[in-house]
Amino acid sequence: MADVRLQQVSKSYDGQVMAVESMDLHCPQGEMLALLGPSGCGKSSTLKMVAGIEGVTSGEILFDGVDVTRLDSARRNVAMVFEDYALYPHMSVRENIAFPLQVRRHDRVSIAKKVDGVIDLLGLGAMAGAAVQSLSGGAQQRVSIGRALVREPALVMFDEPLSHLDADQKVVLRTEIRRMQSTQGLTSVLVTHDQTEAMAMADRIAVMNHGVLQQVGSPQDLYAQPANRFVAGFIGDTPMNFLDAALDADGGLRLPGLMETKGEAWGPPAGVCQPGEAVVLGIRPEDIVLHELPAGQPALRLRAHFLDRECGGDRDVLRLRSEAGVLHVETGPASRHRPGDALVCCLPVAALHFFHATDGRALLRQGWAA
Amino acid sequence: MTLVMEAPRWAETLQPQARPTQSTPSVLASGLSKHFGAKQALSDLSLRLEEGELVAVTGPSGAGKSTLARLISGLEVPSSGELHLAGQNMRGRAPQGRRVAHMFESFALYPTRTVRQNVASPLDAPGNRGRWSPGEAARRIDEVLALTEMAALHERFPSQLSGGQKQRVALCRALVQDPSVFVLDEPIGHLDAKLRHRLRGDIRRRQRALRPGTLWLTPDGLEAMAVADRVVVLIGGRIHQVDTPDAVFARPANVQVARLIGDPAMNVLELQWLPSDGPVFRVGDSQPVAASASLRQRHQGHARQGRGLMGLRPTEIMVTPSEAAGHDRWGTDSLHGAVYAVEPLGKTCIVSIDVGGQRLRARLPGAPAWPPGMPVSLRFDAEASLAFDPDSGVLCT
Repeated sequence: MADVRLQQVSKSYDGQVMAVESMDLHCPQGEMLALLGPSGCGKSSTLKMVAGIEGVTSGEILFDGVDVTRLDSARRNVAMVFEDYALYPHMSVRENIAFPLQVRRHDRVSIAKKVDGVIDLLGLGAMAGAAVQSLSGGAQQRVSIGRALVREPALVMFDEPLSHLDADQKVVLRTEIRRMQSTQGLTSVLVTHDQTEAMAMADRIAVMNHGVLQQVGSPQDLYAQPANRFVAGFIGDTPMNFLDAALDADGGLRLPGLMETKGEAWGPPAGVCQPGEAVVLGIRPEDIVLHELPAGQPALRLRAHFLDRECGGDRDVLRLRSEAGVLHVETGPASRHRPGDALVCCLPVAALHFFHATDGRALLRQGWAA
Repeated sequence: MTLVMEAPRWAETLQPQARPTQSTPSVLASGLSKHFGAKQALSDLSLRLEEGELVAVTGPSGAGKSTLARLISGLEVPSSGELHLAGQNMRGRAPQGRRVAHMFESFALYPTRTVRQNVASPLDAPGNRGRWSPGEAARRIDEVLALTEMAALHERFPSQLSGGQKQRVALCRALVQDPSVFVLDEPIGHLDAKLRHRLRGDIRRRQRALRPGTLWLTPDGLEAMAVADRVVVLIGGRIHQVDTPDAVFARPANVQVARLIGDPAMNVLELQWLPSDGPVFRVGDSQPVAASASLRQRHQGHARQGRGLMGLRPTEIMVTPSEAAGHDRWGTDSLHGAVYAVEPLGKTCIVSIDVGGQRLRARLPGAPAWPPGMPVSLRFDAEASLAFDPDSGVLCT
C-alpha cells in the first residue's frame, strides 16, 4: 500500500470561499488516518481530492512520492467504502467481493484465492453464498470493505462507514475495523464527524474546521494535549468546559467564584501567559471531582449549585451553575442532588488547560504539575 | 393493557417541575396495532405522554418507531386500537387536522425554498394561517434557527447543506410549531458529538417548559436515556419496557433490552454449570472455573439444564494481563480470555475480549497497548451481575 502525502492542497468551488485551505497532511504506509470535523469543515472535499473524484484548486497529492494530482481515481488505485455500502443487491456476498477482479479480467483461480482470503479475514464465510440484501447493515458494510480490499488497493477510503448502522451494529463493526487495522495495517483514510469513531478506529486523527487543519495526532495526544480550543471542545464525549479567567499582576488566577485555599492564590507557571492577560481555562467534565482531593494534589475549588442531570447509565452528567459559568461534571450513576443544592467543584491543577482568550491556541503546558 | 408504570418514589429529583395530575395527556394510545400485509409492524402498543413530558422511544431499526410516528401524525391508519391527541379521538382525522409537529427522519425539505422558507412553511399551513403576526412568526423562526446554530445559513438552499445541516432544518420546522404533540424522528443522529450534546440538553429544557409533550425517537439508547423523562424500549413492534432512564439501565426487563442499553451495552454471557463436586461453570468452550458462593447463589437457581445467562456491565469488569498479579482481591469471580481489540476513547478505552468463543467488552481507564490475542484475566463482582432466564430472557435477579 502507498505512503500518501498532501502538500499545500486547496479547494474552492466558487473561487471565493476556500473549502480546504493549504492542507499539508501525511498518511504513512500502514496507518489509518481519520479526517474529523463538523459538517462543512472540508473533510469530504479532502476525501474527494485524495480519491481523485474531484480535482484540486492548487497543491499536490503524492502516493509513494509520485505526483498523482492529475490521475483519475482508477489510476491511483484507491478503493472506497461508502456509508450506504453501494453493493449490487441481486448478487451474493462472494459475487460482490469478486466483482472488482472480474471487471479487471483476473483469472478464475487467482480471483477465487483472493476472494477466499478476504472472506476469511472479514469472517464472512458463513454467509458467502447469501444475497447481500438479506444481510444486516453491519454485514453489508463488511462485504463492502471486502470488495475494497480484494483489489489490493494503494489506499482505502472509508467515508462515514458506520453512519447508516444501528447503534449495536456500529459498536460491533467499529471493533472489527479496529481489529483489522491493528492486525493488517491498512493504509487508509477515515472520514467521520463522530469523534468516538475516529478515536476508536484510527491510528492518528486530523481535526479540521472551516477548511483548515487544526491538529494531527494520536487519539491520546488530541485528548490530552489539544492544540487549541476548537480541538479541545470537539474531542471528548461530553465536551470540555471553558471558563473565562484572567491573571492578576502577581500571576495569580482570577476566576469568579474561586475559593482560595489558605489564602494562597494559584496561577499557571510564569511564562505561560502574561500578568493581567485574559485567558480561557478548560477542564474536562470527567476531570472535575465533587469531593476533596488528597493532600499533594492541588486543585482549584469553585462554589456551584446543582441545576439538572443527564442520565448516562453508568455515569451521570451534572449541570452546575458557578459564578464563572455553567459547568458540566461527570459523576457516578444515579446521583440524587436536588436543584439548588450547593456543591464544591474541585478542578485538579494537573487536568487544567489554558487557551488564549482571542485566538484560542493552547498556552503551553510545559513545566506545570501534570 | 397499559404498560405505563408508576414513577419510583425518588422521581421528583429527576423531574423538578410539578406536573398537573389531572391534565389531558398529549398522547394516549391504547392497544395500537399496525400490520402491512402479513408483516406486523406494531403490536398492541399502549402509551401515555403527559403535557410537557419528553418520552424517548428507542429500539433497533425495524422496531416500529417510524410506524408509531406515522400513526400519530395520521400518515398511516392503525389496524386496531385507539389514539387520542390532547383529549381528542383521532379516528378518521386527516393529518392536517391533527396538529402534530412531525420531524421526519428523511428530512423532507422543499428543495426550491431557502432554509428560512422551509422553517416558515408550517406557520403558513392552512390550519395555522393568521395565527401569528409576521413579527411573531419571525421571532419563532429566529428562536429555533439560533437554537440549532443555523441562523447564519438561513438563506441557503437544501442542496447547499450537509446532511447534518439538513437535519437541523427539519428539526427547526417541527420545533417552530405550536402543536398538540411534537414527534421527532431521529432528530440529532447526524450531528457531531459536541452539537449533539448541547442540543439534547437545550431541546430537553425547551420542550419541558412547553405545554405539548414530545416523543423523541432514536435508535441510540444512550441518547434516549440522556434526553428523556421516561424511556420506552420498542423491539420487534412490541414495548419491552417503559421506565425512567435510571431504572432501564439498572434493571433491563430482558436480554434484548440489556443488549441495547449502555455505552457499550451490557455483556450477556451464556454459562454452562458443570456437574462436579463444587460449583464450577464455563463460558462457551473456555476452561471451567470455580464460582464463588455469591455467584452460585445469584445464578445457579435460575439455570435450566445447567444453562444460564449472566449480564455483566462493561464498567464492572477488571481486566489484567494474565501473568500480572495484584488484582486478585478485586471482585469475587474470574474468567480468562484473549484480547480481540482495544479502542482508545480518551480517558477510558473499550477492550473487546474473547472468552471461550463469546465476545465481551470492558471499559477500562487509559489505553493499554495490548496486542490482539494477548491472554487476560477478567475479574468481577457477583453482586454486580444480573441473571436472566435462559429460555425467556427475562430478568430474574
